[in-house]
Amino acid sequence: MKKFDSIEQTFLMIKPDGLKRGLVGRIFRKMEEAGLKLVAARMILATKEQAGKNYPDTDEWKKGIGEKGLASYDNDIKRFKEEYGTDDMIEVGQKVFEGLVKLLLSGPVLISVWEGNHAVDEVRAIAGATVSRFASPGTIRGDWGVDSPPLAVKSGRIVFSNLLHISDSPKEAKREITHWFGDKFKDLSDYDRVDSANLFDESW
Amino acid sequence: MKFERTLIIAKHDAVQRGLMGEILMRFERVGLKLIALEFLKATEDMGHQHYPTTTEWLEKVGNRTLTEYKEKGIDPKEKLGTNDAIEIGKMIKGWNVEYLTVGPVLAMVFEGPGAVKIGRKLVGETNPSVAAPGTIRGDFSSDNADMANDFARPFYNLVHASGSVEEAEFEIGLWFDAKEIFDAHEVHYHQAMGFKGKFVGKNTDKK
Repeated sequence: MKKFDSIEQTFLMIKPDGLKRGLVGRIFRKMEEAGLKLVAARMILATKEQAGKNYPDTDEWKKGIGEKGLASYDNDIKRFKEEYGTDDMIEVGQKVFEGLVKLLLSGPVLISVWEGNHAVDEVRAIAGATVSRFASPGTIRGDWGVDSPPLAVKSGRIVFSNLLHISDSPKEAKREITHWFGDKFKDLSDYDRVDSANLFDESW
Repeated sequence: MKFERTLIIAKHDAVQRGLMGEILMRFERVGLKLIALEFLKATEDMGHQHYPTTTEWLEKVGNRTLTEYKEKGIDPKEKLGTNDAIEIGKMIKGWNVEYLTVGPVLAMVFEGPGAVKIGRKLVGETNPSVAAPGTIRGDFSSDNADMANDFARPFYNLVHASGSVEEAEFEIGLWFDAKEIFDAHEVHYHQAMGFKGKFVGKNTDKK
């Protein structure tokens, strides 16, 4: 299966909020129904360093986080500034980053690696938009997400629950897989799903 | 009431068929708490330890097959090369070990009130063809004794669930290190069982 260029591996983490709500089975089922193959999975307690380095520590990333927050305020910058206490997107991103680390350390997480045709994009599509209000029904966040940045800020959490962390590019996926599973990581991809013949055989 | 733990394994046929999520969901849905999980390929040694080796157990398993063969008019000597219960027991154990180690499996520990019995109930009868609808085996498998006999293999029955509290304790120790088990976190069963908000009774448990 690996001989095809488009076969990728992607990293998926069910965050403590997803575990606490008992959504692991439903999330796994969605991945499996999409024909993705599980090649690694483990329940762990993240270390502070692991949680921190999960996210790219760049201004660009922080700005992006701030802008996603602003979209949840329907781009009402005045209200956004009032509630976050700043309209500096990088500063907002930093606050959210700190909250995310706290969230990841609040309980065990489930880390996993999924393999399949364009797996990175497939998993992104199944997970749905970061903020559940903008996620389509049928996606994980569209079906089970309930939180939003404004609600999180109002209730003093800063970080809203969106159940999952997923890789946003093949390059990032490689980094995250090594980061969470270690340098010596060996996947368990040496098996075929029963339906793989239908998907990857040359004789249709 | 004392909370129990049980070991649940989605075996390799469940992995290959993409049924891990479905199986996991059923245990979460009933309100059990997932406290350990690993996707792994068991070694042969683990497989051998997982199933008992006592003469008593081998004989019991062998006799079960002998009785079944007799009912069906199958000659054990012709089919399996022997009619000795212990020898047949060993053979069956070998098939089970092979089935458990043939490829990666999803091993899980669930915790909750009466978890062992609840686990067995959700899984259903060993023989999928007679397992009740609504159980995992009843809903997702149609394997039967004739098929298993024809191919001299165990039932392909998707999932393993510990049979007793003692068995669960032994099996959990075999599959997981103590530091891989996370039982301290608060989890949805508090909601599932109505521990949050208004509830009848002395609602003094954690949140």
